[in-house]
Amino acid sequence: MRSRVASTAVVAAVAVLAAGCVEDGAADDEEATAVEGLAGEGSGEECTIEEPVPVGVVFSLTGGAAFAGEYQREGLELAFEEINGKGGVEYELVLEDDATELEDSIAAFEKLIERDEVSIIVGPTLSDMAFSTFEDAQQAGVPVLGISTTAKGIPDIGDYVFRNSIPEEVALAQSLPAARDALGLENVAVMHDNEDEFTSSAYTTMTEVLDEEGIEIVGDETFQTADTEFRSQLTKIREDDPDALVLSALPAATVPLVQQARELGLDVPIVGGNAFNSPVMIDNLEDAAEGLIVGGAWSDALDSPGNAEFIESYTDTYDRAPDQFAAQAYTAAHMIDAAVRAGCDGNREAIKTNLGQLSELDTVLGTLSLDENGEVHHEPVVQIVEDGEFTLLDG
Amino acid sequence: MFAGYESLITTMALTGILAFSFHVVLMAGQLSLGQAGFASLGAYISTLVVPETPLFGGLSPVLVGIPVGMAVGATAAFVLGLPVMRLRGVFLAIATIAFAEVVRILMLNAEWTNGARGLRLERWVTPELAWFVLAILVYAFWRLGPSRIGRAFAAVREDEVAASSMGVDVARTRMTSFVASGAIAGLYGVLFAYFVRRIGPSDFGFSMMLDGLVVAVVGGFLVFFGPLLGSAFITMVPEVQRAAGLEAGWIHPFVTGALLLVVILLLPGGLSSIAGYLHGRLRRSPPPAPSTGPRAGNEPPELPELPAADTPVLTLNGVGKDYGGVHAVHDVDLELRAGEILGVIGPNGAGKTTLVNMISGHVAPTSGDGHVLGRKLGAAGGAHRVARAGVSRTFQHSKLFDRLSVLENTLVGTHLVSKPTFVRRLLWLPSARRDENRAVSQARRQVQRVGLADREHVPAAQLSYGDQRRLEIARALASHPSLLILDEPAAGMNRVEAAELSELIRSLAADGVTIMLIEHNVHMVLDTCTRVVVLNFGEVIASGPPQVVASDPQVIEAYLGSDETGREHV
Repeated sequence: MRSRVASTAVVAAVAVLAAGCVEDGAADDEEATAVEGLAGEGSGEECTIEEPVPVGVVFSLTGGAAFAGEYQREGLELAFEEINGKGGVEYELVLEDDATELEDSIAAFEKLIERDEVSIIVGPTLSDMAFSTFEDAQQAGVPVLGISTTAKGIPDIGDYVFRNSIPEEVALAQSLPAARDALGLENVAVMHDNEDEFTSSAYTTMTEVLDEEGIEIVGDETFQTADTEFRSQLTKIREDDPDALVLSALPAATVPLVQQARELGLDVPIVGGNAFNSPVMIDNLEDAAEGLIVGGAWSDALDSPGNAEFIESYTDTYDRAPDQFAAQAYTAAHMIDAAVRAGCDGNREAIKTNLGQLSELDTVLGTLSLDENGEVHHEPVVQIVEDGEFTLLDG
Repeated sequence: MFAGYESLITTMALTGILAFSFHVVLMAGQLSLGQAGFASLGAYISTLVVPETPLFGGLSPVLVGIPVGMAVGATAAFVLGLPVMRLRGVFLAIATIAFAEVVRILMLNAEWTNGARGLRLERWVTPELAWFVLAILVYAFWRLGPSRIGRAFAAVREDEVAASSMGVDVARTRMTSFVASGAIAGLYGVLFAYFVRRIGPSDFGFSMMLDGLVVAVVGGFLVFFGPLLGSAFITMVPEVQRAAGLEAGWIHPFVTGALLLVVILLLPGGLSSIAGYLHGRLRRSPPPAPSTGPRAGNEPPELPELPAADTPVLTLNGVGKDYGGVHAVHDVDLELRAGEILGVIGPNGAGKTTLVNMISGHVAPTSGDGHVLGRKLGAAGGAHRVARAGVSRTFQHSKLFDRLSVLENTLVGTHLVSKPTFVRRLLWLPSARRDENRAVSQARRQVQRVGLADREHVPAAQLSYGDQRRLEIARALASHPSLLILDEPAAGMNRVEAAELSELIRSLAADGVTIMLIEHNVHMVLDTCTRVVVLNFGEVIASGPPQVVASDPQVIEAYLGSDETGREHV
């Protein structure tokens, strides 16, 4: 009886040890195996690759971030359709929906990496999930290209991680000084959603930029993602009498917030970042949108290579105007194509190497480069809503 | 090991663990939804202690976080439980949701949690670890079911009043399940955070609560493997749909939702009820009763001596109970001595049941005082304390544990005469088995005594009315009472059954049990009892040997309304 207890204890201890073991430094231990059919002949426009290059895509097509995910899917599919039409290299999309859930996003990445064995992954939609999933891709040695993951620190995850979405601080660093110069701002009030990761990260950036630019913060209010009533915060801000309101909010909160601000007679310009750079915003806000200043990566007024054609073909195909999410997705496809053709190789390692060397690429976002860290560089655009339309604000 | 499916199977294990934290409260009949709050607290606080590098060269650092997370979750549940455990049903659900929301807001606004941006963590949870933890939980719940505390959970779930009169401390049992739920939720929180590599307040929100609850209910909370089945089902449905080519955005959630609806509508006991059904089909005959030969542990437990004959068991001095202006019971004096069979009769509304409820501790008297087996009437502590003193009762309207079998119902009755066995069962100590066998043997004796031996595996709800009354008596007897109160046990019985019951009562009295019999069947009372008390409008109108009481004119009037017609009928 005593020996039975003892042996049970031993078995249990061994089981704990076995189950509790972690592989130490598991990163990159399995060398990526190159697929021969993905290595082609020729180079650049002449490149031909026998097998289609598998491209994994993870977007939030349902759930909270679906407002962005759908535009992204459409922009990406449109671009790859055009590229496949050129011939030589064919891309095969494997699309996964993460339903705006972290666990689904992780499972989708695992499927694309291990089972579909894609050469590169585009997405996910939210930075929140990218912090976890990019880590997996990095360890598996699969390049990833984020197209809306603007949070600080994303490219630092590793050398397989790239993005084409300019970080919020870059957009803000441009739009706040531009607004100051154009409107003569001296003091502002700041409002942000402190429940959302993206908006609270943007808020930190905003306060830093405002500090650097010597603009005084006279009011600082918070709200939560699902709030629909902002009048008490707005009334306080009205009493602070700022020259402008700097706002970090998701689209859902932005519309009622701006409307209520205007109702309360808070008529100062409202400055925001990436999050509400969408034509939908103007449609929903109507007159209240006047004077909204938005820093972002793309505008339909932007005079960039191919932008007019992109807008036209997108509108023809999907019966609605593209937004920034669509434009960044569209750009991603062209970046991948450029990287594949540069080495004429659709394997993971080759795409990683060549994506890291993209420089001065002409895209609808403007002339774009990736640095050695995987971070994107291009000129952000600052727009103001005038007469119900986004107009470039010359900073 | 499972290349390409690792996160899927890890998620499945984690979902199962989350479901267990709901399972354990549902088992005890509590709808608590604060698990996300416990998980959040457990996870956040564990990040303070989990080391950055593997332990001893290869052990997952999360092994340090697991006990911390469980302790934090359990402590939080205990502290929250002190005020909210008095709530029941939907009120408890709302209070616990509010708690989870408070935790979320707290974590959102605290400095060290990094607010909405959350904390980045390493992945220290492997599929092996997640499944190992789940296996331990499944094992623990398998061992829990037939233990004393497991039966107490089931009894509280089925009927709190009946459970307390069997000596189960309802408040404590509910708290135990609540704290266990907190500990498992804390455990889940730690594993989840170190699997998804991050922790943020939004992860522990309403949707986590919904997921856990749905999985626990779909799996079924009546058997130990319910959460496992539920989790496998919920996790596999999307994969199967993918394999079947149903990829379009809306179809997938639609099909999942529809399947959930089908399961809930057609299988109220959850998916595990299918397993139970198959089990029943494979083994048509009920499981054979273990041999009752003279093997170790087959004797009933050692039972305390009953009070010696003629010692006072119950004394009431001017006891009364008012409900507002209604005097349900008024100024009752009563003495009951060991070995007596006291009959209490009276018309409907005479206050008989109120009197019984005061004696069994379910209702406190508003005037007068009394003692039952050395305990003051209306003393703090609840009905289970009165049961512990040696009072056992049946109810006018059967309060059986409907979903439990005849034997299981009776086993709950042995609560007071058996020992806690859960921890010893976990370790497979032979003494646990001996104690369980003793309890079963004690229960089985009572079942045989009331003549239900051939139906011991039938759920109580499926018994005929008369059998249900007999089962109540068996359950009440299982606690080895000094005073047995039978509240209209013969209601719905035919003449033969009533005669058998009368015989049984007399044999119990011969064994030394003191009996208080409340009955409408006057003939049976007169036949069975040694003394009779008659109540009318809450007052004692007659008391004495049966024949004397039967001819008392006041009694006849009370029963028949007027003395002119009354006399002719007696």
